[in-house]
Amino acid sequence: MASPFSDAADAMDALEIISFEEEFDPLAVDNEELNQDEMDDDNPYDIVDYPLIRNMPEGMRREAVFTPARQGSAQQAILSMVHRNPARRPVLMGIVKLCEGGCPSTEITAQVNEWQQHNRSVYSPMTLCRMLERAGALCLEMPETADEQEDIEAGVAYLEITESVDPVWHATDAGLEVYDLLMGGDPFRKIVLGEDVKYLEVYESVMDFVAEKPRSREEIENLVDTFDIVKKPRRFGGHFIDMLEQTDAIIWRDRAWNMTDLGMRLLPEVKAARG
Amino acid sequence: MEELQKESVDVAELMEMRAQVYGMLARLYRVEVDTKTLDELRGMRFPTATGNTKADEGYHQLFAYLKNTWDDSVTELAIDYVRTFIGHGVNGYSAAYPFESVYTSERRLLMQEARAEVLQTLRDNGLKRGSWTEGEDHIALELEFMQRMSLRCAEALRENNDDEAFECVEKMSAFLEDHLLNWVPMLVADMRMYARTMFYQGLAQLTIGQLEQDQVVLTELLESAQQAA
Repeated sequence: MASPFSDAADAMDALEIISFEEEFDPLAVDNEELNQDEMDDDNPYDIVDYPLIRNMPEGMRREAVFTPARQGSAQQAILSMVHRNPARRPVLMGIVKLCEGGCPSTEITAQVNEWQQHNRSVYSPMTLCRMLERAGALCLEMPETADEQEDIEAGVAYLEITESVDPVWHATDAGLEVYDLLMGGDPFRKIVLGEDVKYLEVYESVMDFVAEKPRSREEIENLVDTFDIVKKPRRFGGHFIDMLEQTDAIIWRDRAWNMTDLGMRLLPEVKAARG
Repeated sequence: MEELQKESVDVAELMEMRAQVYGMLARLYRVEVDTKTLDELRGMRFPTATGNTKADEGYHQLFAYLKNTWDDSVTELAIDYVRTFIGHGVNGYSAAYPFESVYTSERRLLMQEARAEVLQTLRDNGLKRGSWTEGEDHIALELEFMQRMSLRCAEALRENNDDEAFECVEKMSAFLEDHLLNWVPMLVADMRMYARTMFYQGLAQLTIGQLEQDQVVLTELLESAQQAA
């Protein structure tokens, strides 16, 4: 009967143990001092070309935390955060608007869960609020709690929690300014009525088409393909969907693209521009 | 005779109460607080005068935090749990590491002699780790050991098995002095340094207060049992 370890033994024969020099200390290697020209493929010290974080080009580095102190101002921090989280932009801005004048956290949670039903996120509603707070778009007001309740039983006094707190979030001036900047239609005007103005006819048709009823991506692509202007240079339906979504004119909901309130408000401007 | 039986029942109740407190502490150290645990904690009653000032302060701090908990509190506590017990550094001084070995070994290492001793104690008492995947000298396991021994003691008293109950008290007293009180004072001092929420500050105070108070209770029980014998 063959040994049950024969495969393992064969495997051991097929492998070699990689041995480094005994004095090798990986922490002692400073790749800033290494000369790439002197490197060869077998050199274990050759780590310069590996994608280490410290070798990342400056332009690729991004802040992961957005605060007024890091970005220079609350407005800049909020804009940077929204820019780095494009899929959360409508929700983040929605929260800011909701908190204009104050909104209890339970209400925000319920509203955000509804908004994110078709655009799920790993962030909980309160995490989004905390991100906005850190960036300077929101501030939190903790309500006063009632005096402590004491209950005496068999001569022993106990404290009991008798009520729940529901803190109120307030939008800051900087948060509302960014909301107006992003959700007032300026990004839409810059792209649709500016950079992409030669496709205005296509945008108008797509927006009319989606305004009639929610449309699938395929339906929009088929519509776009009927225009000669998109033949050369080739523009696919996806481009128009991307631009309209980026500028908050349409939104994905119930497995279809829907017009937003902002999109409906901007449609007459498109028609007027078309003359 | 009736008097003696009544006393046994009272001590059994005392053991069950101790088991509850140890169980709660063990749970709070084992993992982060989840929504269910937070709701349970909010439903608790917090004694104002236990006879130990540290325990009283701990209960009061827990109460002060818990009465203001809301949607974000589970996340806040999870962050503070990591900050307090796990930390970010690798130098051995970045958190209040909840393992006895760290506090009783020269180089602050895990899996040292303390772990071997706790493991042996668990085995001697017919216990072994279940789903736990880390060292047995974690504070949660040591507190759970006290909880289980208290329940055994209560059961023995209810069955009028005084010898077994006495043995349980002896074991608890020895474990408390040889292990928990040998390192937990240092752990809670570190917890107070790293924890930012009132919750973990309070847990630190409550833990040391409970252990000190329990030492008095167990010593008194042993003395009275010896006198009775």
